[in-house]
Amino acid sequence: MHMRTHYRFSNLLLYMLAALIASACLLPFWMVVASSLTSEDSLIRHGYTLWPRQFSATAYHYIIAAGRIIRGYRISFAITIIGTFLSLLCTTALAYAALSRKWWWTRHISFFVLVTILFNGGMVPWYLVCTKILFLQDTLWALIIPYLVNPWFFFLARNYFKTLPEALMESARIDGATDMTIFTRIMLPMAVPMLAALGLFIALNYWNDWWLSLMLVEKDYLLPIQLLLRRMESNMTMLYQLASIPGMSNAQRPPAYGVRMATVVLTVGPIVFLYPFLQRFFITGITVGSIKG
Amino acid sequence: MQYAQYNDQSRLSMARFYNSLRAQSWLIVLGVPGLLFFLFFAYLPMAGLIIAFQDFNHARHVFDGPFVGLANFRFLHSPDFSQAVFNTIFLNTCFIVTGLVCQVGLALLLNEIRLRWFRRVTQSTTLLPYFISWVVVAMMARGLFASAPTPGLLVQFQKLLGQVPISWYTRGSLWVSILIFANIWKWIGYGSVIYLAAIVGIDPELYEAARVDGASRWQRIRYITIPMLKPTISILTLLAVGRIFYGDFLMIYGMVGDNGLLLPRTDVIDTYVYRALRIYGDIGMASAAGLLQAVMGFGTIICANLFIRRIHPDGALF
Repeated sequence: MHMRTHYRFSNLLLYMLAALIASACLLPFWMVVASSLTSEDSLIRHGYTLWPRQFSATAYHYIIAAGRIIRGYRISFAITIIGTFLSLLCTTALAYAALSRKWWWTRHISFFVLVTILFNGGMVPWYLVCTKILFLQDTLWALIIPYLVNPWFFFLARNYFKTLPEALMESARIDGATDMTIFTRIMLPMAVPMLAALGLFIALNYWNDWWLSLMLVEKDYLLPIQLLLRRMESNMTMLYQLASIPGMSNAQRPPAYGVRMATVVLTVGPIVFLYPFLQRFFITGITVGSIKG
Repeated sequence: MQYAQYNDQSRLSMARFYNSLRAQSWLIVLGVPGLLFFLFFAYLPMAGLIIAFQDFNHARHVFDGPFVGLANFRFLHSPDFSQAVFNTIFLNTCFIVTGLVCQVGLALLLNEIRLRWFRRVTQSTTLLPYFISWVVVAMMARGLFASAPTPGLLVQFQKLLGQVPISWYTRGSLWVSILIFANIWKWIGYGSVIYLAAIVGIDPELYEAARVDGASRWQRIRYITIPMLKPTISILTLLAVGRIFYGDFLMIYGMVGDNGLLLPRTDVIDTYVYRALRIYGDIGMASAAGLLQAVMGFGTIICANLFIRRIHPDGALF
């Protein structure tokens, strides 16, 4: 009996600890939502809160009416959708090609990609290639192309393709199917779980990216919402610019701190919203991708 | 007679060549985008490493520039760079150690939780920070640590207790703890998913045998779970150590930004190179630092991989 209560007590402790850790992970999210719905006055005087002292949705009103932040939102959506689609295509296509042992060049693709993990040229040559050779600066493609094929994702796709039955491909080939037919009609449909997980990771990469726009884009109409958020955080004037409603007098300043929090909510919103539905894919993706290395 | 034979031979080999080209035409279509990608974004920049040894000027072409040998490497003497290198290694080491302890700890904790729904909810919530970008985390950090004009939660809490609140954004020494804590917060869910998956793979008979022998929960963890986790821990740790010279630019620059007061303790090689490139326009120095980082990184990754091969051959990259 004594063992039992001790066991139950330590069990309770463990549950409480788990609940504590989970709350600590959730707390910042909660704070951000609550602060975004607090009036600017209350924010400045009392600070960030876990429950709005003075409820006010003005920040959101400013964001929607001002439009510049919404534009950033649209850019983020565009690059995520286009980027994920193209990236999945290019990555899986290369992974399929890498499996062919028949031709001299396909046999060395994996090594070719592996080297890029081990060694790189650094920030400067990459920047010079993007701007001086590919002329990507200030284009929408600057935010999409540099992330098209991630070597880790390439290996993930290649390893998954390897587990698909070779005999199936062989018999299709004997029946006269071309590589493209095998790839599109057999491999891709069979790889849907992997594609789902991979697609989610790629989409997450594109959505959260602010590196590409930081380095390659100056035009403010091409900036994704992450970079807008970054500029808002470091630069108050930028914030006023982004949130000011056109045609409004300069005397009426937008609620800066509320707007920042509201933009965070908008940025994180889609992820948190889709999260319960997609969580399973992410977890399988993480375990498969990482244990295999 | 001999000329006729030569023509037949060459025609045959040309025909063979075109036939093979046709046979692999779709493969070429499939493979070329990816290969071009790596050619431009990975291999061409490698060739650009030569800039580190040149006096680069935007107007000139890359290979025109005067060769100045090691002149660009002057920055190696600067205390700022040594500080950046130290910070990179120090911060990364802290991240690896604390991350490992917390992630394995959470995985062990989750493994002991019997209620399925509770475990799933905890796993979901702890995984959530993984999905947001560091810019968002930086905003959240302000919500906790900012002093003025809008006091963050921690600052309010301290005021409530009657203390003089700490000024987090002006004291660099505190930022090491903030960064470590932020890193733990962000990766604890992700890492625990991996370790938990490894734990679930442990043969339950071992636990049964231990239970029969009267082992307590903690003894089971110490003598079964943790030893069985050693391969996974080793691989992940070694992979992380292989990247010890690469600072997490997005994290550091996202959280610290251009705050000069925090630079001495939070500047890493990547932010140093970024500043040299974008703010000072010192291309030569930035390239030289980048080259150094790539070479050191290459060395450590190779060594780390050789280690992994000895412990757990499946986990190595090559």
